Parts: sequence; C-alpha cells; structure tokens
Amino acid sequence: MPAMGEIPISVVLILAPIIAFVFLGFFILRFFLKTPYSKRTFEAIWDIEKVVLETIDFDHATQKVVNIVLTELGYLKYGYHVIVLTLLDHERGELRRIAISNTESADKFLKASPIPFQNIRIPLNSFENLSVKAIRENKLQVTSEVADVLVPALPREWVKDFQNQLGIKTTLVYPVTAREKVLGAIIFSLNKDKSKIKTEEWTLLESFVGAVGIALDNALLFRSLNITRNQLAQANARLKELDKLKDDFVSVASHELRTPMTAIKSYLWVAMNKKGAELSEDMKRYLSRAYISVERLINLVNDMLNISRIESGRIALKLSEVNLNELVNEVTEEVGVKAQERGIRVIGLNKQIPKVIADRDKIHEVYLNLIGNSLKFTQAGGTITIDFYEKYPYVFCSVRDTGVGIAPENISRLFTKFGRLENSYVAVAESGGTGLGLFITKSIVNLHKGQITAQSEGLGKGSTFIFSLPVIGTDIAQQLKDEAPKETDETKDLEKTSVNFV
Amino acid sequence: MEKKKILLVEDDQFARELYEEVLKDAGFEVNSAVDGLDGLAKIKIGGYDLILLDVMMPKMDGLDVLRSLINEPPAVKNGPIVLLTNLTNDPVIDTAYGLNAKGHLVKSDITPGELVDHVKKYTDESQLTESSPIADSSSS
Repeated sequence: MPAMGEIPISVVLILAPIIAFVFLGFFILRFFLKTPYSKRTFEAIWDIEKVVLETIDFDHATQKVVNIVLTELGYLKYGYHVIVLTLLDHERGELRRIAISNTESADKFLKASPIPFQNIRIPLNSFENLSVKAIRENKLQVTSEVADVLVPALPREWVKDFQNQLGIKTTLVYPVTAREKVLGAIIFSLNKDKSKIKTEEWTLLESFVGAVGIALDNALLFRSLNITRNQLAQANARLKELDKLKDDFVSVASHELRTPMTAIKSYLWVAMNKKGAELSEDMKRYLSRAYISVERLINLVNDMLNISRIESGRIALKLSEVNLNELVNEVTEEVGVKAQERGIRVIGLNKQIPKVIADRDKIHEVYLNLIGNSLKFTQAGGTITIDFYEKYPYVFCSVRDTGVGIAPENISRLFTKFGRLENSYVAVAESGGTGLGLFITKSIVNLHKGQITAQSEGLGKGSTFIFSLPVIGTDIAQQLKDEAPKETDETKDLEKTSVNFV
Repeated sequence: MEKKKILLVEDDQFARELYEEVLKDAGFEVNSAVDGLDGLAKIKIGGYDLILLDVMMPKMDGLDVLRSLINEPPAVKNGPIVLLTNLTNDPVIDTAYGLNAKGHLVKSDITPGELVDHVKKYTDESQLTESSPIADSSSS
C-alpha cells in the first residue's frame, strides 16, 4: 500500500476527501485569480473535483482524469494530443502506464505499439527516461523527443518514426504528487513547440496536475481499501474455518482420550470395590490415588473442551427470569450431605431481591463451583454463607466462608487458567480439581455481563466470592438478551466439569 | 426370580468385558455384541430387558442401529435402549433420542457401580411400564 505511512486507512479515507476539497478549492481559487479568462476552464476543474470526490473504481477514475482536460477544456484545439498517466509501483520498482486519453493520436499509438499499453513498464533505474527523472527530481521535464518517455520499453528508432507520423513536437512530464509523496507522472504530448505554450496554459497545467495528484491518491486509497477489505474477508473466513477445525479436533481428540481414561477409571474402581478381595491399607491408598488422578484427567479434558467452546463463542445462554433464592435453596440442599460429612454448615440467607436474567443451569454450576471451593478450603466447624445485595442494575451474589483465606498478592491469580495457588495444590489434587474451575466460572459470569471478584482479609481469615447478574427489566438485562450467544448448530453446552461439585 | 437380560453393544474390549463382569456380579444375565451389525442382529432376536448401546462403533454405528430398528422393528419385543457412550453434548445424542433411545449414560462420568445402579433403575421402570414382555422369549 503506497503512500499510506502510519496513518490508519479509515482516518485517511475520512480525511482524504476533505483535504482534497480544501486543496481543490485552493487550486481553483488560484486558477481563478490568475487566469480569469474562461468559465469553461473553471467548470472543468470543478469536474475534476467531482472525480476526486466520487472516486470508487480506480480504473474509471484514472481514465476520467486523463480525458477531462482534453474533452472538457477543449484543449485538443490547443494541440494537446495524448495524455498518459503513469503510476509508481514500488514493489516491482517500475513505472506503469495506467491510463491514456481517448484521442485519435492515442488510438493510433495503441494500435501501432509493438507491446500492449499496460505492458509498457519503465524500470525506476532507467535514468535516461524522462518520467523517471521527473519523479526522481520531483520537477517538470520537457522534451521534443517522445522516445525520452518510452525508453527502454520501446525502441527509440520506432518511437521517433511514429512521432513524426503524429506530428508531436513537445512532450511534458509532470510528477504527480499528493501529501508530499510522488505517486507517478503524467505525460502531455503536444503538436506545438514549447515556446508556443502560453503563461495561462502553464498555470492551468500546474493546477490540473495538482488536482490529478489528489484524484490519484484518492483512487489509490479506495483501491487499497477494497483490497484490504477483500483480504480481511478472506482471512476472516479462513479463521472461522480454522476455529471450526480446532473445535472438531478437540471434540474428536477428547472422545478418543476418554476411551482409555474410562478403562483406567473403571478397572481401578473394580479393583477397589471387588467383593471378597480385601486390600491392604497401602494398596487401597495406591489405588485411590491413581483413581483420583484419572478423575482429574477426565475433568481436565472436559474443562479444556469447555474453555475451547467458551473462547470460540460456542457456549449459548438459555436465558430466563431466575429467582435466586429458589436457586440457592436447591444448591444448599444439593451440597448439604457432603457439607455435613465435613462438619461445615452451609447457610443460604433468603433476601428480598428482584429476579435476574440468567441461564439458570449455568449459574447453578457457578454456585456449585464456588461452594465446592469453599468446602475444600474450610475446616470442620466452619460456615459457608450465601448472601445477596441489590445495587442497580445488578444483584450481587456472595459466597463467604470461614476457611483458609487468600493472601492479598494471590487474589489476582485466582481467575486465570491454571492460576491455582501453590499451597492449595494438595487440597485440589485430592478433590480431582483442574485449576480451571474459577476461570470457567468467571467466563460464565462474564457471558452474563456480570463481574466476579474475590475478597479476603488474609490467610486464615476466610474468603468471599461475589458475582453480579443483571436485574430483569434493566438496560443491561436487555443488552444481555440482545447480545448473549444464541443456541445454533454450532453451539454446545458445557461438559460436566470440575465446576460440578464432586 | 428370573434374571433380567441385558444386551451390551460395545466395541471396546476392555470396557465390554468389565461391564459384563460387574453386571453379571450384580445378578444380571448379560449378552454382548462387539459392533453395530452384531448388535443389530442380537437386538432383532429380541427379549432383552435393557439394551446398552455404544454410538461410535465399527461396521455400523449406534444411530444406524436405531434407524434400522425403526424401519424393521424386531418381532419379539425388547426393553428400552440406552446409549452408553463417551460422546457428550453431541448432536447425535439428540438425534438418538428422536430415534427411540430412552437415555444416555456417559462412560467417563460414571463408575461401574453407578452403571449398575442406572441399569437397575431402567430395568425396574421397564417392568412397570411393560407387561412382562420377555416371559415368552426368555423361556425359549
């Protein structure tokens, strides 16, 4: 993309027409002040401005530019016979012809030329070529030899011969610039001597070339935008395809992994539970540790599947109006037996709170995971309290325990993938945890446009996890309904995970 | 009391032999099939109280087994067909429910003990809903 620099393309595209307008105004004004001799000339420059502002198709715009001065200005009768626009191709290091006027002389040239017009390319190291010189020196070049602008692409002798047939006497090469960058060159071939060009003509040519620069710059930007857009569309399609492939691969791989893992798990279970085969205490410990580890492996596969789905936006939310008090009652009942076994009280404080918009099953899992964590890190005699408070437009749900607490420096790591804290490893290992539970929990809450935070006064002082959900009828609730991932063929539900309370 | 008859359609040898063993230990009569075709042939004989059907299998997958049964129901009736698979959250599960599967058990999620519990539950239910469909065939 030439002439783009560091400026984002969108900014350039917005600014380009404005700058173009200002510049053209300047050119027109200057032209008008210096050469107040023709209303038609003024209109022609205005036409060029229209080309600048309406440019969509690159080829169309450049063709229009080379024709305007001839057709609109009637400059044919002043001896302007061929106008050619060339464009710098930095990648190939050459000057390419992109447009030629629709004039009789130009037609003759096109028919006679031994190589097609579009293939006349001038390498930028051809110093004998006047177009190259005009670009290098950023200065107008004048010659009586047309060959000076066509070598080395066409043989000098052939051009000379053809020039005589057409009666071309003078050729002008202007560098075409915009935003202080040279974009190419425009070539005017005339059938009169340089000395016959009037002062007003020089002024008009200068103004015209300035306008061409802006038109060309604009056209280039539109073209590069189109190219970029196409490339982006292709890249996007490819990414989607890759994402699907990745998801399919993860699905198949996890199914394949489950087969041997199931065999290990099942045989270990039978080894431990075989009737009439008493195991020594050591043997029981070995087998039980192997069993816990394979459970963890299975959970890991499931959690990785979940994360893959969450990250590729394939988890849909089945939203409904949820009464959180009811949900918490269910959850406390569900974990009651396990908590009792460990001598921990689980209390759900029923509060007057509005309903929230949520995927009930997924918030159920969020609660199970948070309570499950609290159970892991709270000793017998402790308490887990589930509470709420309303702070428009959210209900904040808290799970507070009297457990081991979290050191302040560790709080930020809690919600990252495998962000498990070192001293928690044993507790987690024994429960078959994966280190992914809080990450998934946070992802579920975030999908609901809520936030989750953890608080602790420090080690030994218990922990509180608080997450928010949108109250029904609020703007954020509506936004959630509008934007939440919907169920499609592509979406899948969460796997049974370590989020599920073991 | 007559032993309940279970058909286990499972291609993985380790899983098949283990499930056979725990179900027999739990007092069931167990026949097994090693792939979909074998499974279909045995289902067509009929007379099972419960069929545990894997999905991903060589020769014929579980879904095709279910389809064939809809097209050509066995002359002698069977109890419910329950998927026993490691596929989770897969569209084929929903498809299977549409093809008369009565349930879905995920092998990696359950212990052999839990499998026995599920099997007991399904066979008890089927006895309540169907009037001794296997009396004739089991005596044959």
